Amino acid sequence: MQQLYNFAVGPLAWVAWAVFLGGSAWRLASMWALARKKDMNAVAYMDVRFAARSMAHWATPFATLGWRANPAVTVATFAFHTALGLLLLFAPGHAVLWDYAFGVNVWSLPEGIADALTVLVILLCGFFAWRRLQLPVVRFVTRPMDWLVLALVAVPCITAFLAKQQIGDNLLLSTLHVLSGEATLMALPFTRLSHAIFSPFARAYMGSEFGGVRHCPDW
Amino acid sequence: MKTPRSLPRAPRLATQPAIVAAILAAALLFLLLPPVGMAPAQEDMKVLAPEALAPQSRPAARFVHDTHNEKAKIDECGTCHHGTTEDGRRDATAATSEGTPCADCHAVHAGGGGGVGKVGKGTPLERAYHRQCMGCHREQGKGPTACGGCHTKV
Repeated sequence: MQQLYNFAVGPLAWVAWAVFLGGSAWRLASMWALARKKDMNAVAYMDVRFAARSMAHWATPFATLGWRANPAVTVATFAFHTALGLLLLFAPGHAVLWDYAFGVNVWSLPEGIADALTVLVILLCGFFAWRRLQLPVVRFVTRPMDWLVLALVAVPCITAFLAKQQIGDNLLLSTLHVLSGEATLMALPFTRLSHAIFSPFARAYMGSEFGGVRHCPDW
Repeated sequence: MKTPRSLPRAPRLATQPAIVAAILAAALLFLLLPPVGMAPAQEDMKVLAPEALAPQSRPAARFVHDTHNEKAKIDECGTCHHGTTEDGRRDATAATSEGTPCADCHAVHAGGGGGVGKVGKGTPLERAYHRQCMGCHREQGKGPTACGGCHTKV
């Protein structure tokens, strides 16, 4: 198990980052080529100003009609993505690995805050799972892929929490944390998690259409 | 061309997550069981807890000097208590540094002079500990390298 952990934080980490970066670049390039081939009108009407307006508008909680329609989901979505992003970049354990491997001193969250954010993300994964199971409208559009991507976020967080609190077999949980995190990183460009790389372009497209074609606010 | 989704799929899907959740719950229960035969003797417990790094954010790293070195077959003090060249670089051929606390040379923060609590140009203290321990454990393929392997709750 120790050898597997060393392999996971060593060579496999390089593989995971290469797949993530290479896969993301490939997905963006092929999507761009497809857009030019099939929807050149939209490409021609792309406008940086309207794109930025749409991004800012939709990055603000309750600023849009969509965010006002379902307040609970809005709060959960913003809390979930903020907490997850903070943990990915600034979890104390992650900072130690940057420091160890590259001598890069990354600012990190206080341990208590990081613990609280981890619990928050796990609870919100539960909330999203509950919606998919219990709300007919959500259940109807739920596909196995949705459960996969929810698990790809939940498993690294649950194993991180248990390993950090030293509940259960620490080495096993630490290994599962690293392996599941790398699985998520590698899956990102190729699953619905790809909204992480595509959402700015979706907003740029919508924002440009509302602003530059329909000449109306970005609702 | 995608074929249109057929309507009757939805009810069947509702049962799948329940099965997945049950399997995950069973797996979680298994993970929560503590490993057997790993409890260290309390009276032997010694830790690496340099004052310079206080307040510590994680439990202090468990390290019993003699037991560790016997197990790791380390006879030379300089393996860990390494010497340095005149400009402060690690040097295996220089005089060893046993008896000198790590924090006397390795500053807590990088980028200036040396000494406890001061800013130094060498490897910062926390990084020095991590590279010393984890680096050797990885190189040898023995000893813990995950956070909880050393920073164990007592």
